Amino acid sequence: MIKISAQARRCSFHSARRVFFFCGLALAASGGSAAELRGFVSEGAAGVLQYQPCVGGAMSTQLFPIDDKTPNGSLRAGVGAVRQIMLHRYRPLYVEIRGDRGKTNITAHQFQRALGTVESCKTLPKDIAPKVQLLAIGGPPAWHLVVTDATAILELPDKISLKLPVAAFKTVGPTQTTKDTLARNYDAQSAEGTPVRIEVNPQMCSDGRSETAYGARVTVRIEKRTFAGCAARF
Amino acid sequence: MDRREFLLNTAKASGVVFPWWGLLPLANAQAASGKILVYVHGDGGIDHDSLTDPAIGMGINNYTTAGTPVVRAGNLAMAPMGNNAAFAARFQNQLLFVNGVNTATNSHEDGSRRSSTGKLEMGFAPICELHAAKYGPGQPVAWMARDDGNAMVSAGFVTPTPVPNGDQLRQLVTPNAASATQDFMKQSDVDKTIAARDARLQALKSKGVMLPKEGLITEQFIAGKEARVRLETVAALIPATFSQQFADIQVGLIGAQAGITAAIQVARGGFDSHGNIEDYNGANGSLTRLTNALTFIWDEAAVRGLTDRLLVMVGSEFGRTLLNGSGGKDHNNVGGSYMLMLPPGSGLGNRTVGYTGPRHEQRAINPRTGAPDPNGVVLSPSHVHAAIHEYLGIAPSSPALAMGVPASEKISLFNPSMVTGHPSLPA
Repeated sequence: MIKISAQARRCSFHSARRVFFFCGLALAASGGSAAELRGFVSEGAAGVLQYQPCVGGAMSTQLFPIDDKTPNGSLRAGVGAVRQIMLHRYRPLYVEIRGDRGKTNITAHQFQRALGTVESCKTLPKDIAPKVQLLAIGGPPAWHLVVTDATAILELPDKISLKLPVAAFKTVGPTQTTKDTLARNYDAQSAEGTPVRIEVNPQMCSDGRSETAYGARVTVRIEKRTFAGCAARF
Repeated sequence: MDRREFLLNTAKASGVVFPWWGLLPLANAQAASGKILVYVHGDGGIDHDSLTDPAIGMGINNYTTAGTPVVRAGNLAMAPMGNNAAFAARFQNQLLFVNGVNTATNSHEDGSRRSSTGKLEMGFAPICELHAAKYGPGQPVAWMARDDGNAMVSAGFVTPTPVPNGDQLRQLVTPNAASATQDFMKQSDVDKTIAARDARLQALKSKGVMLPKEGLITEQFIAGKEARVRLETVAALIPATFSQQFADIQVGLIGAQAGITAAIQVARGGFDSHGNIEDYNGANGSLTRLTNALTFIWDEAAVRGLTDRLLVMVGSEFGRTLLNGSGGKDHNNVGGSYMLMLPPGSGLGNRTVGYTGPRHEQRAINPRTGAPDPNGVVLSPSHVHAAIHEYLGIAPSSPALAMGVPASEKISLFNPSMVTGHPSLPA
């Protein structure tokens, strides 16, 4: 929200016509008022997904119908995939999404993950730091990739850890809207000189075992090895 | 003339049809030789690697990393977790492990149903329902159950009765009871009322001929009286205090002892360990709570003289994966397991049938001998249920309700010479 207001203020210094044009472009590019939403989803009448945000340690009693504009309907697909295997499948399901929150409804642009193992707003997961921009995991055997503003580290099986240049992850996908919806590749070279390609494809991804669904499929290619996984931030 | 004789004479005199189970002598209401089935659902999906199917290898479990050796008791191996060591030592000769069971699902709901019915498809009866239908028809609480709803969906033969707690049980069997210790009215006053009813029934009998409606009312009254006689038997078995932790099991076994219950279904949870498998461990972990419950079943059964009639079956939704990135374990249809507990001296325990590979890969066995056999059978819940149906004598006569296991795949689970052991563990 702060970022968007700052852009609006800068625009106001130009002529009115250019202001409208560029401000509109900037807002569209930044995904409107899209925010990180954390709360629980349930299915209402006619299968409409409804969102209940976590307010402090409690679940809000207000229900916000969700307009699912995630790529390939990944939010609904993810909720369905987790519900199929989760314990107590009819209870509200914890989700992390990016979207616009209105007074009476929300519009979901990016589905990040749904976790069937989170039971209440008191026990929200804290396994992903706010500064993380790309987080992908996969296995077995387990591997994971974490990219922040400052670091990009790929942990592979057999305790192999590759440090990648952060700059490689800033060149593609200039806007959040693009990142929400379009498949993209990142090409990087580790400090040791190993070429690494990371392919991110925004669509529902689940291993069918962990009661978790994610918003993107990820493939990591290193020389002749390929690691498939899912991304919770992308 | 005692009360039962009086009731029977009254029934004969009035031409009413007496319910067949009411004609049973009270002591034989549940035949003394009849088996009692206790199904314990490990709710959440028990990690086989933490209980009956231990493995040694990095990334599989924490006990390998810690260098803790696998528990051995006779021919059995158990994971060195929870209270498994003491449990295995005590019950070694009663335990029959069935490992390497492929449930064909990673869903809690489907796995729950499959574990209790043997089938993934809906519409099949939970094993407790089959047992209750065979051995407890007409019993007021033939199938006593407190479990996940998916594990106790009736196929229409017997309705599961929710396990009452101690207070509720006393209130159920003694209408005058307000709680476990308090009555609504003075019992002496209640006794006077009952005596007056008996006198009225005598008067009805002396009238000889009855109108049809009078006959119907008398029939219902007699049935009600018979049920009360049975429930009074239950009342006599209720202890002064109930177990805090295991009241569901205790109430079920009281029902079995009184002859009003043939099958008991309970659950112990905490096994859905995505976040941390160590939730299983320690004095308050889910494993100890499970093995303590199983121990209580046998201790209480001994107090109530039921030991020789029990078959205890522990099932769960599926197996679990190796350690995930969070130190927990996710769902895995491969590697499910059952734990059966048989009466002491049955000669059927101290065995493991079925197995998984060194990292819990799927493996097949010879269905007759249990020996590892790549061309043999990969066990499924249907195989296990079919064998237990045969053992209990409860196999449904309708092919539509059978487990659908071909004759060539039927396993000789209750043949004491069928043994697989734990071939993937280092000797």
